[in-house]
Amino acid sequence: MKSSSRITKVIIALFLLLTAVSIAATYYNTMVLRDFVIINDLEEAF
Amino acid sequence: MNELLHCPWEPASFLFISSNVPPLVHYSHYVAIFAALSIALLVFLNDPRSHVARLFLLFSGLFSVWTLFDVGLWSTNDPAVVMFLWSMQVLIEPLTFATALFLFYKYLKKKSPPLWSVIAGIVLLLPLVIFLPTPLNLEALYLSSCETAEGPLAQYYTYFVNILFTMAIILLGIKEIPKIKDLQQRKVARYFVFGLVIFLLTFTSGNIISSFTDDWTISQYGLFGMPIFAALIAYSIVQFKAFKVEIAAAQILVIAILALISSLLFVNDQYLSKLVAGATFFFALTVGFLLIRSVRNEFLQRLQLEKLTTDLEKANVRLQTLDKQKSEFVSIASHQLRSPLTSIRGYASMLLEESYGKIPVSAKEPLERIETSAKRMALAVEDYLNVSRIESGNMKYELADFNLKDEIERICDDVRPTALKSGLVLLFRTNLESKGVVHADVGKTVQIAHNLINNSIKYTEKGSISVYVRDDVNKKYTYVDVIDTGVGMSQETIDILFQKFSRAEGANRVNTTGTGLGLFVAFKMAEAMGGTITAHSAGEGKGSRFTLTLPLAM
Repeated sequence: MKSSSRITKVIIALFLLLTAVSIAATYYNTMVLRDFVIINDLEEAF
Repeated sequence: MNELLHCPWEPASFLFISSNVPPLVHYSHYVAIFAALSIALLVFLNDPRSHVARLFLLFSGLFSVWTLFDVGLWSTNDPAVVMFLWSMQVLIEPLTFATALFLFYKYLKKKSPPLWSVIAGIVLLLPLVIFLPTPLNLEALYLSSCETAEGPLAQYYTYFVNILFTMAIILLGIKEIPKIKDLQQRKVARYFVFGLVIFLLTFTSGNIISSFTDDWTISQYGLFGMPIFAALIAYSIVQFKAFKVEIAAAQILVIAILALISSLLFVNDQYLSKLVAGATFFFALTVGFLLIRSVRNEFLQRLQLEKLTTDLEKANVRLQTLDKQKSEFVSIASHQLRSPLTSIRGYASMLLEESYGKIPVSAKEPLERIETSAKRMALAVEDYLNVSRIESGNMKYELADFNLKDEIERICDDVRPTALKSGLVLLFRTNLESKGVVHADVGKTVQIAHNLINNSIKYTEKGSISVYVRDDVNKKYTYVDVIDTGVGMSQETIDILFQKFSRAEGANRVNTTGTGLGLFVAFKMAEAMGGTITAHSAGEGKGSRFTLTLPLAM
């Protein structure tokens, strides 16, 4: 295998790892902590 | 506080089932998911080791996950689920575009993209990944509609990245497709880029419009076109051929039937029903196995047949070229041989006539042999030349009306002494309703008749040769029959008699000088003049009949 091809694979793997961490963080933030702003516009809407 | 707030409709069951989902969403989303996944799966099953097929499966998978999350967004009334699924969509969309670019590069160049372009792509995607859990992505959620207030990342950056990737695909196509030498491959590559770009534009344009107008029903329409573009991409990847679609379809059908039957095992509690379902399952398994195997065998046979046909076509073209080269060689060689032969014959003849003074008696016989051999060789060379002319289409025919009966009678008179020398009787008879005038080349006709009568003399040891000229005014043909009491022929010999270099079995015993070309040349000449030659024999030792047919003059 050429070294550039190996480097490409390593970079893609690192990127995917970072993506997985980011997805986990988003899940934790939204689904577990529910840490986001809710604009309660129910009264305006109805 | 957030835990208590929910959007104002009933909660979704199993995440995707809710009365809040418009029917249009189901039709557009599930059809697109099914089409994209099944097409990608078919391509993948066709050649699981192909990188392009794997990337296409990943591409379709990402698209399907995005679409499935979209159904979830329509269904759920839980703000947390909306925030999570929406964030995932913001991430998955540009990832789908990046995969599309990777896929297209791999398809065109048959190798991975260069390192710098991979780094550039990742640098473009990094802000999305890093800031995904932050308000830069999604700022807030409106409780009345369960829609989010998108931050700059979701509203601008993601679309900017999508457009950049699409532009890269278009530019790559413009730059690389004209370099493809094979016309068919170039056409297929155009289909590919067309399918991919339209797929991506349809995918993103609906979202861009919806993102800015806050009307998310618009983005649903684009999904309807997806199956078509997915099919177009798949068609390009498999490139018409070697696509084991029958096998894949049979496999999918069998798996679907098995899944259906096995589900009966679980939904029904009755023992008898389970027994019947179980038996049916094994029956379907066996039949399914046989079906797949038979489809596979048929497919492989077809592939083999296609390969053989291609090989045969190539071999045929090569043979034709070789045959042409051979004819040219024979033509050149024969021309070179003819001139010295004429000199040999001429001088031998003059020596025999004692034009250069008296020759000793002992030299007479060798000289006669030289003349006879040179004459025989000249005839053989003439045969080779004729074959060469016939095959190259250079044989010239001067068609005119002439009396065939008179010509044949003259030939009989000419060759009768030769026949008599061999102890044979040569008879000439006619039975004509017309005057016996035919429309043909007189020189070639005389040559054919000479050939047929001389052949009969050569292959007849005792008895007679009858030459019979007759006609049929209704059919408008004149016939010359040459009937002998000679060695005769088997049907096998007759079948190959008019082919090049074919000589009758045992012909060498009777006549050692034949080239096997005389009848071939005669047959081709007769054919070219609108006639034919046929041969008949009751069998070996029972004589032969050759019939020359020529059209009557009108």
